[in-house]
Amino acid sequence: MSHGLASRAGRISAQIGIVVAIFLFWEVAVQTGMANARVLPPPSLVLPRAVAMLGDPVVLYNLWITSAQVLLAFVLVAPIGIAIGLLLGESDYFGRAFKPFFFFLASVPKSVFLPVFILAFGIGFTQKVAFGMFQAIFVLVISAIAAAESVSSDFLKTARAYGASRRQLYLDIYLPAMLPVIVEGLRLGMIFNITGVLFAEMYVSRAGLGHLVSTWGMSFQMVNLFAGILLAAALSIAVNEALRWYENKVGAWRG
Amino acid sequence: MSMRTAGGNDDRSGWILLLKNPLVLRLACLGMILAFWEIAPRMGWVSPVMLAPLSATVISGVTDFGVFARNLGVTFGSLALALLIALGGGGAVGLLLGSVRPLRTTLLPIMSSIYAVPLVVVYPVFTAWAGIGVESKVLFGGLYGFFPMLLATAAGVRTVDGGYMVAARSMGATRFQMIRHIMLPAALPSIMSGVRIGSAMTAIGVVVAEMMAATAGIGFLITQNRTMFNTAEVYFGVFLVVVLAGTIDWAVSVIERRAGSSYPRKVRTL
Amino acid sequence: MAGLKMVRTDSVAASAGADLRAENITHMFDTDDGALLALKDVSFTVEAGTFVGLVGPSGCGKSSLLLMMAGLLLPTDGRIAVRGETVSGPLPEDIGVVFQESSLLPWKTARENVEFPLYLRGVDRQVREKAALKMLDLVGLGEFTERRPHELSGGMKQRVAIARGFCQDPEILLMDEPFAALDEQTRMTLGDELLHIWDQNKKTVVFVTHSLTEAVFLCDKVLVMSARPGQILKEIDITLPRPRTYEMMATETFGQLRAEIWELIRETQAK
Repeated sequence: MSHGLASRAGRISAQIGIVVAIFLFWEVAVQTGMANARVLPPPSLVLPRAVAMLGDPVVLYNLWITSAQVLLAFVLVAPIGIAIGLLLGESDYFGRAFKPFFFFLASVPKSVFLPVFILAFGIGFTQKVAFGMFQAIFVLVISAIAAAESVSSDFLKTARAYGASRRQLYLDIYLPAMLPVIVEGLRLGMIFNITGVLFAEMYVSRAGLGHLVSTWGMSFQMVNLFAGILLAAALSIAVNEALRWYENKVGAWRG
Repeated sequence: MSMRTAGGNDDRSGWILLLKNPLVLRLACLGMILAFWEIAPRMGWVSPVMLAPLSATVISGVTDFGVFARNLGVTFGSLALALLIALGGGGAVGLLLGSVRPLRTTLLPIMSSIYAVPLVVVYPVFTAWAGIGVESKVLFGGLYGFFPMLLATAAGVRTVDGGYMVAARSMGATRFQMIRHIMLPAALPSIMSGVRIGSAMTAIGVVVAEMMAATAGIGFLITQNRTMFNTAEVYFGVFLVVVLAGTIDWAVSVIERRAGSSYPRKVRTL
Repeated sequence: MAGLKMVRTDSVAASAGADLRAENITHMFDTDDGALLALKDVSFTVEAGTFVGLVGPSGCGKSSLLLMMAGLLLPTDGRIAVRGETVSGPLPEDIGVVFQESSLLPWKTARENVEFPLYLRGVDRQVREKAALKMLDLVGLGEFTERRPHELSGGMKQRVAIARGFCQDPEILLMDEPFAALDEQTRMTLGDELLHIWDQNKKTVVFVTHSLTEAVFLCDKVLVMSARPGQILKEIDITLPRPRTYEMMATETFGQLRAEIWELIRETQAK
């Protein structure tokens, strides 16, 4: 046990080491003139700028817009997607009617539909939320289908033999059995949702982190651009890892 | 399955019987969507800027066929180069990371974390560095497909049954022979699924790049038509990209079946 | 829940068990190729407190029969009766079921799995915890009560399933090939332990198995079933004395009984 922990700690410190090494290499490459500082600003400029941005009201406002869009899209799409998926996974009839439909749509590139959303919803808040939902819904449906189908009939048989009520079947068998797969779907849906909202902001918009990043890029403000990318990356990784942590927690029994 | 008797009237019970077949329900819904697509804009239920009638969409595609074909050709060219980066680069790095244990345990988790980063935000860097020509979208498309390919390849190599390796070693196989005859074939199913997902992502990356900043290509054409409110052309362009992605997926799955015909069928996972 | 019986937590106290009868059971399955006759006029009696085995070729309907006894499947015709009363649904207070190892709930610990039947009935936390720990102790898992199934070996998992079957102190215990997934040695050990527990409380046990050795070693009586449609070919009384010991396996009687069952199954498989 302690050996496992020690090697895990070793692995994590190795990972931190690698990340630090990449930043160091980047810094050295710029300082020695291997890379042009005008197109690749050194981390000694980028990192402080990223930190400073967290105190900049303009950046914070745009960050808030993006977060609000992402969160609203997520809150709206999660119950819809999961409900559709559970219906298709549990009902033989609706499953056979519509599962192929959703499997096909899940494999279709969704980013290309963005212009359609602009035609339909304009370029404001609503359009970003709608597009984030559209990006996320199919992976949610598919993982909810997988979750419903992953409930072993052995568990249900056992619970029924021991006299479980309908409520107990739902709360004590279906829910714990499905939760890890559904949370995994939520995690993937969240990634797609964030990507969708940022892409929509970069494409056409008046506000949001994606809008800022796009503007900085077009006006060659490279330090701001790299700092913005770092912020976006850090936030996405944080959200992803938090959901992954929860996924592993509720799915620890999967071994 | 219940078939209606010939000559029966369209009475209620007949329809209900028919709808008991899920396939009929699916086709009915599909038909309704297509009918809505055609009728709604014509009847003024939705604005024609929002949705162009199905027939108008098809007609716009036929009349502007030359323009669509030329831009699709440009996209194909960029895509071919981007695939080289994504599949070649991702595959090579994946092989390395998957087969060397210390690299695997330290670098792979970092790679799968990076996978969560919305890569789209990096695109302005590419245009700042390489302009808005072919180079930036090739590089960006390559980057989009690089990580899925890397992760799938690494996962495939990692799961190779140790028993095969021991058996091969006991027969005196060299390191190269082990890679050529054991590791690659055994990892093939996973590598091929990496090729499928990686190709799809690369195509999305190229089109997304064209949409945001480019001078040619199908993505560029869609954006251009959107700014001019040519709704029918936008829809036809989107349709073409969907067909493009579907064709790539189909082509890879054909290769997958050929290459993997000696393996037991595996259930496709997400 | 009306008629909730007092739960007896001192599982090891003697309770005589109830008798169980199958009366003229016929069962048809609907398949794509039409109706399939799975069981044909099956009748037998399991006396209270006896250990009865059910053997037969694959697909003969043993498991369907067991599901009927558990109240999870209704026969097309005929009835299952416990103490003379028709079984029309699960009787969790009278009947415990031990399925194959996959029926353990993987997100619950060993203790929570054993408690599960009592939990479903709303038994007090302390009471059910005490009962579960006692049963786990009895099957030799006293130190592994907080492990989840994926942290247990196949044999340990099956011990948990057995403890779960006994924990609520049912009159009748139905076991559906409980040791099928285990290796030969673990199987023998577990069979021996099962007899040890059974000796203390003499439940009525119906034990479905593929292993003839296991059937002869464990049972008072073995019901041999024919290939589909399943019928009872013969009821064989196992005349070996109790308590059973491993040495008995080397005896002539043991060999003859095993050979007799094997001969019946071989003939029915050949049709």
